[in-house]
Amino acid sequence: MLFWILMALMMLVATLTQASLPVWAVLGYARSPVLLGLVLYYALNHKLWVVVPVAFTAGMLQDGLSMVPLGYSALLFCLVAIVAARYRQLVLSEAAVTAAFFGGIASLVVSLALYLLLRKADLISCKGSVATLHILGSGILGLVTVPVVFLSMAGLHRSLDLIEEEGVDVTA
Amino acid sequence: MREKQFVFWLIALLVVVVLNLPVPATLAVRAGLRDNVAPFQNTMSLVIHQVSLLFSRVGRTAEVLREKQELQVELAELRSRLRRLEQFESENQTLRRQLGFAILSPRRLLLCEVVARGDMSGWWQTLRLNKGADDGVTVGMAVIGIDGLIGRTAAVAKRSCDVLLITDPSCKVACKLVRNGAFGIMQGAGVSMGGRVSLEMLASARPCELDYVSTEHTLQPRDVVHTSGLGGVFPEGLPVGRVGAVRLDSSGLYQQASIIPSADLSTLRYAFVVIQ
Repeated sequence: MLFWILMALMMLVATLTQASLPVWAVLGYARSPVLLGLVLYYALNHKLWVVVPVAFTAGMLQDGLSMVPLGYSALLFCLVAIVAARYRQLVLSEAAVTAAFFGGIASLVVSLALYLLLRKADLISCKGSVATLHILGSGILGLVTVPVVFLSMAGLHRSLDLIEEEGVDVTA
Repeated sequence: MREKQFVFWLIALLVVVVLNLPVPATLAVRAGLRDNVAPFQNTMSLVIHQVSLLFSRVGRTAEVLREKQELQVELAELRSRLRRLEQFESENQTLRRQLGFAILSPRRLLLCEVVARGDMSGWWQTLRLNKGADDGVTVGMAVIGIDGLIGRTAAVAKRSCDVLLITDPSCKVACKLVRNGAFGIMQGAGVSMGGRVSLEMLASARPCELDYVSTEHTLQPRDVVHTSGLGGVFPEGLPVGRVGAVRLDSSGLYQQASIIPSADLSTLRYAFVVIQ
């Protein structure tokens, strides 16, 4: 139960953090992908049936609080979570370099896919150079942000002694 | 195992349903989410503001202590109180200015506080205000500051609304020059929230661009630009900015100009929604 409460709380904190972190012109105003980091953390450390609801909720939060049509980010986050969960056996989920790698790639891909979807729906009209910078910026921020999210989440789970509980009650 | 598969397929079904939700249902979900998160965002915004104030005060106090160690405690306290009073005075003046602006304006204005900056996805330049449908705000209303036009409401929940800034490329404003009445369409070209022009390396250094100005009218730098009222979104006569550089467009049929917005979007704490 504590696991699920913590997850909901972390989702709220991640949402507020993502909304509050500053954006930089040099990175095309890309947002730090804190919510995506949370999704990746669960994708690399938990079973798929735990991860997919997390990804869906995180995506809905991102869409609901932005001008992106509902469901776009939810769909992309779910796809990213499924792919990350599928290939997690090949990597060390605890390593910071794994988090950075997955974070950078996932953030880049999600940003690119979101841009294409928004462009197709004729919802944005930014220049190609700005969009490129934004997508690359997302990738760079993913490289930096996701390891921090991983470290924080792992530390929190360890300090609350939730590792065992997850293994037995949630991910078994 | 079946239970887990059920959850998986349920989420897949939910994604499909959400992507195909009718517009009213989408708006309701979105409004619900925003209304529930807005108070937390407001609190976070206030906390960040207070912490930054605290840090600046601590820094100043430490500096004073280093420079004037011989000062007695009483004097330090008096200075501290004086600083606080100055801060209150400054805040008082700002609020009086805002109040006076609202009273003197011929339009019905709704004073709002900025609770968040920037879109969660980062693809739009937006602000979130703490007033919404319950206060009479609807989509497409003009939003102004004391110095000029800020943008228009793009999404409205019960107790909050999102404002698309004039610097966003998706925001187009029908404008006219005060000096000679020439009309044009202004479009955002991307300006940083820090008040600096964005993407100096890759894109032009124009905060906004005014297009389709007839060559029959002369454009001069520093010409004042107001909203024209055409298009129905922005009321006529709202100050927008001043003309920067002027040039002919590629076809040679129209003039183009860069526009420096009057309102400083980086330091906004309050904004007015134009209700009527």
